[in-house]
Amino acid sequence: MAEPDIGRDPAAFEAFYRRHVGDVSRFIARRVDDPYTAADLTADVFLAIIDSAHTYRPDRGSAIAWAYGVAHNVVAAERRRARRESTATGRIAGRRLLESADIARLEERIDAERSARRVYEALAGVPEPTRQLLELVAVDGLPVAEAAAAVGLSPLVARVRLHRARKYVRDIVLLPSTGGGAHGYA
Amino acid sequence: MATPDTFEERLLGELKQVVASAQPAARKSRLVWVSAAAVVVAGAGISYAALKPSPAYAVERDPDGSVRVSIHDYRDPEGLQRRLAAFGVRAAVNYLPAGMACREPRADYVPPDQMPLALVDWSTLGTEQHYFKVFPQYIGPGQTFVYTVQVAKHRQRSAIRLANGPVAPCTPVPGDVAPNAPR
Repeated sequence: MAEPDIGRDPAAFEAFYRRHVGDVSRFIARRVDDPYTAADLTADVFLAIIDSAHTYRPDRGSAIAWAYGVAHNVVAAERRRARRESTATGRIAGRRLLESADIARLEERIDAERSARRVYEALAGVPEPTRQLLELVAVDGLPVAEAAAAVGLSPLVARVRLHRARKYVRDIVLLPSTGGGAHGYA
Repeated sequence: MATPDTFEERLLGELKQVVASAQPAARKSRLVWVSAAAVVVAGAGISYAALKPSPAYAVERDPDGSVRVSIHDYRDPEGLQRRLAAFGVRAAVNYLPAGMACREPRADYVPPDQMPLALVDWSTLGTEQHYFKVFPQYIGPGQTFVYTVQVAKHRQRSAIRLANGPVAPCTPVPGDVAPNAPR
């Protein structure tokens, strides 16, 4: 199990990155529609993963669920910053690394995730912490048990919360635009 | 997965450097190389006291690409130096008591009249948040951002220089960090 070393061992980090960069990029593409912001956030998420590698517990769910939990926090922090009109991003400005071919590719990815992004946007009114759980299930397609582990809940508590939120879920799956990317919670 | 020349590969390269720099052994053995020019700024007054245990500094990247440095307390210069390195700014940071300076020359400094004036924006220091901005695009390959502060209770004297090539460790000697700047 290489994951506990990813914050310290460049080879272990590289293996983790290669395994998960696609999923993390799509996670972000389901939440932002601008390739530059997506690039910055991708850099920020992996920096946060490096910083919090010591919190990863292989026995508490899959690596990708943990990575999604980290990514959620990064995206949420970015939203708060954007609201405050404050400015900072991360230690690596991802957009600095973009070239035109990358931008086209990111735009395609963002386009491919547009229906999931509508679900994400529709969840804006759901209060935390249920919202993160709902996102991971309805937007990112994680099994409930893994989503529960990612947010630090027992599967039972997670199911109860999702049940209580079912009205939101029903409204969302009835949105006409909801399609392939949304993985369908109901 | 990604072919060699993609955003993902370039990002991986930078991230691996961050991971490598997190290793204590690598940190200790890393040589500090310095590059280019010097602008000396005096009297950058940053409030001195930190009343409660809190981070000594904060470093963030601003949307304009600059690196924002907020110093809350003049301690842990090595930590600030490492943090700046993580943001792509190779730096040598030293805090000295009043009346002390590093023995010079400890590097091949860029002459003051050749310093890129846009390297640092100090204008924000007067605001409530007390930060300054470093624009890394003005730090050339092989250059080091040399930040030296004489810490006095209510008045700091700070010098920023760019060094070409290596920067020797600071040996404190009596002196002024910014001898040519107005007091």
